[in-house]
Amino acid sequence: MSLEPALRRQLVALLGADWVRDDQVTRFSYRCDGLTLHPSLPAGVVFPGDHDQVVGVVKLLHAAGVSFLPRGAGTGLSGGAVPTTGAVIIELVRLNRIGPVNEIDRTIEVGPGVVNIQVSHAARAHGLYFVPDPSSQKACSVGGNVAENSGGPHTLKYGVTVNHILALDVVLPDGSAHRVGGESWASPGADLLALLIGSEGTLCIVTNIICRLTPLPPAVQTLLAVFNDVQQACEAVSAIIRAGIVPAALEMIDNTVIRAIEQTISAGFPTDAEAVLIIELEDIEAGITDELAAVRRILGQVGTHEIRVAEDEAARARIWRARKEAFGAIGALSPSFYTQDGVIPRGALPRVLARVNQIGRDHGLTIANVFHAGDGNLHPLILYDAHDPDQVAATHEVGRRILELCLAEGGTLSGEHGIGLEKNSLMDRVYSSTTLDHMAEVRAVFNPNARLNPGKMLPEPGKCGDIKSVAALRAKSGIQV
Amino acid sequence: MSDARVFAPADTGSLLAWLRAGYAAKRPFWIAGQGDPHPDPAALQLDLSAFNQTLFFDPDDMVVGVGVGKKHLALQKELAAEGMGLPVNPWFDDDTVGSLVAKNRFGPERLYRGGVRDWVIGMTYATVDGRLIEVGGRVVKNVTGYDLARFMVGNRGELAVLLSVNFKLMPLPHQPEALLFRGPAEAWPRAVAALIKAHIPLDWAQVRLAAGTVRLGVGISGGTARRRSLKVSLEETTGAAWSAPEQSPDESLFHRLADGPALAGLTGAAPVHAYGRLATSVLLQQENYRQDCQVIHPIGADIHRFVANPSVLSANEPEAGVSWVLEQAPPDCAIRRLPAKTPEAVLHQKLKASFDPCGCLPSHFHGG
Ligand SMILES: Cc1cc2nc3c(=O)[nH]c(=O)nc-3n(C[C@H](O)[C@H](O)[C@H](O)COP(=O)(O)OP(=O)(O)OC[C@H]3O[C@@H](n4cnc5c(N)ncnc54)[C@H](O)[C@@H]3O)c2cc1C
Repeated sequence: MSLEPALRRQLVALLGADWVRDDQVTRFSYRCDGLTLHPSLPAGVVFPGDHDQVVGVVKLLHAAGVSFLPRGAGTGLSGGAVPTTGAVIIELVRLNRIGPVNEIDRTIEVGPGVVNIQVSHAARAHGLYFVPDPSSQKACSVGGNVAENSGGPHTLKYGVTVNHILALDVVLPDGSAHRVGGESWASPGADLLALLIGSEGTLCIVTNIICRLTPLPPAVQTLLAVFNDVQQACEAVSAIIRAGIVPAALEMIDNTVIRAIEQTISAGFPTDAEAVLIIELEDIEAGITDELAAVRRILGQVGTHEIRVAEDEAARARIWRARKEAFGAIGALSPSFYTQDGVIPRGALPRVLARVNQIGRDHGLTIANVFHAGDGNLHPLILYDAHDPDQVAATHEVGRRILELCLAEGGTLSGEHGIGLEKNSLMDRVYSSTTLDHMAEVRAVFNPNARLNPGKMLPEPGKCGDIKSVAALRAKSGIQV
Repeated sequence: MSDARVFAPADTGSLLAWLRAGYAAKRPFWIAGQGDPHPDPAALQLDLSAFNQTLFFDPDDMVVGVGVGKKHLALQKELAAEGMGLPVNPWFDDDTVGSLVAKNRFGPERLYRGGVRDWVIGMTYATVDGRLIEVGGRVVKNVTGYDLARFMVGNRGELAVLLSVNFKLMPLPHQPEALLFRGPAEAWPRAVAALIKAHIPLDWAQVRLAAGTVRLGVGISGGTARRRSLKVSLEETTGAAWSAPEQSPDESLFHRLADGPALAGLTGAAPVHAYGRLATSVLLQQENYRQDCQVIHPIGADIHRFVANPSVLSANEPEAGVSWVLEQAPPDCAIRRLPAKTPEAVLHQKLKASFDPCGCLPSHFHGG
């Protein structure tokens, strides 16, 4: 169903005809985000150009009693930007203003539609950068990062998005606008910013963001540690953390992903290695040598096959390109894959990774692993054929078992991709019904009728079982990123 | 001797039962350590000192879970035994973990390590109507549901009763060393401004003014070469010498008011660019209030002002653009419930009404 005519006229009057779309092609294009598992057509898509237009759109939709949701670049992997049937998508890409860098406060003000990597580009000339660097950073929006509390390879040492945001301008589902936070590093009272960051577009729409910037490291050393055995690579991760060393990044890539990378971008990774670790150290020149020596010693003790240190910026860039484009490279090996996101205590990595791969084998599916090992944040990529219903069913089962394994190890459902509609039916495995009810009460303070991004994050009453079976039926187009 | 106005539960079960009964009766109460006293003199005091256990500590994974009644210093000692630390060291020796979190304390490491919110990974709290809420978890990265654990940071006992907190940790700095600025006394604001611009990776930095003396100190760590190099950078950046304090080189500035009593005070937060103005006003006031003890954490422009006589605080008009929170004030202090005009006041009020519909807990920021 497209937009109701009276509402459509009002939206056109506000935004102009170009920025109100409810044709078939547009609606089809916006039926899903990076998770194609649960497609659903929006009633329409609107493209406000500034904060005031967002307020205007929200007020119209609120008055019309229509549900709606914000969307950034649509790279989300938990279905957060998938419209429930009939919802209107508020696409925020046009809010892409990048304010000047404030060198003294180390801040920059950006619109939610700004692409993540552009923030660091803008800050670079001032010797600063924006720490959160999801692998999708060339595409995803800062608004999406805020909504998902995104991480990335370099968030091990310096924290995820919530640690790098000072203020937000937000619009609530009734159209009221608020500034939360400010230019200083703290404001009195409960930490509202922390509540709104990671709220997956279910509490507010973010229209402006003050990001905190971080000084670029004076010296960087990037190592590629090559292993003949995945277990040894896991041991190395645990040993480095245990030694009290917190690298800027500590990422693992297994053999399946290494082969995919070599087939697509030829980064020079050894295709016979069972796993590689990317270890990045940052400090001043005079400090980095000691840390590098300590890491080399640990790698030697756990039996690392080979240690390559990036000689120059080009070599470092090659390693990071391989890491950041690894998901895409998997397309060379499998027509479809499903990216799982679970977290475990870091010390459990050696045994958990072995079991993850075993779960895949139990169901006849290959699992490829490329993930934020230093944080214990797993990303098993389940390879399958979307045209084979048995494999689709097996993929669901494997995904569920992996998450159960994470929970059994004292971990959690998501480290950075969010709950969305992918995992909301599993929330009762993590939190008591009392806690979930309490979360629903908090949502109601902002979003009393759940009209903003309905059906996300919190389980729908009585729907836990239903959601899983409906999802299986709908998996027509495969679960690809 | 037990005080009928104090309830000190021994365990979670009895606390929840007490809360439920109190909620039905709309009984006012306040949480010792987490918030300031309730303005209603009939309000009961909730004492959580029995919730003082370390629930788990995994140094290999750099995480700890601890009851809110545990003293912050005791926790740090326990962590240090395994080479770990929570990089938040506030100024009040009596702080419990509950105070640290509920009052969003910060200390000299704010420069590079952030504040309490950057280290909280999970929490258990009780709602005023006696429900037990467990949010977040034990892992260092977690986006499962609303981040109500971090949300509770700074609520000052207005919203709920915090019971335990899980933190991620950092290894203690290796070979820590304090350095004092040895330039002319009046040159410290310029030195700090230079430090802010220079991006030198310090462990902590603070300015302390006490009894007419100004001291700017920083913390560095690492191997000999690293520390030497940082010292050279400091000297080049500020054009002055830096050297270790005369006594206890690594501790004298790092740890609190070692030579002063626990005083009442104001904690303020301002944008870094306001720092110059703050510094000047602090200096001016220094002339008028020689007995004040003032501390600035220069980057982040956080400031603490401690005084022996809290009435002095009301005489000092707080700076515009700086949000001030009153700390450790005695119950009879006239400005105990300092109003803070936060831009998000409307949202705070809505949340307060949802968390505490009967107003059992005090409301420090936004009126009753
Ligand atoms: C190849 C690939 C690699 C990835 N790597 C990482 C990674 O390393 N780390 C990581 O954390 N994630 C990663 N992701 C996931 C994804 O890129 C992030 O979650 C990202 O932050 C989403 O941004 P987006 O602009 O695409 O948001 P969208 O997908 O458009 O939206 C995501 C959610 O945010 C909400 N939202 C969007 N904009 C706003 C706004 N302005 N106000 C309020 N809510 C809003 C939406 O309603 C939705 O719930 C990856 C994804 C892909 C495809």
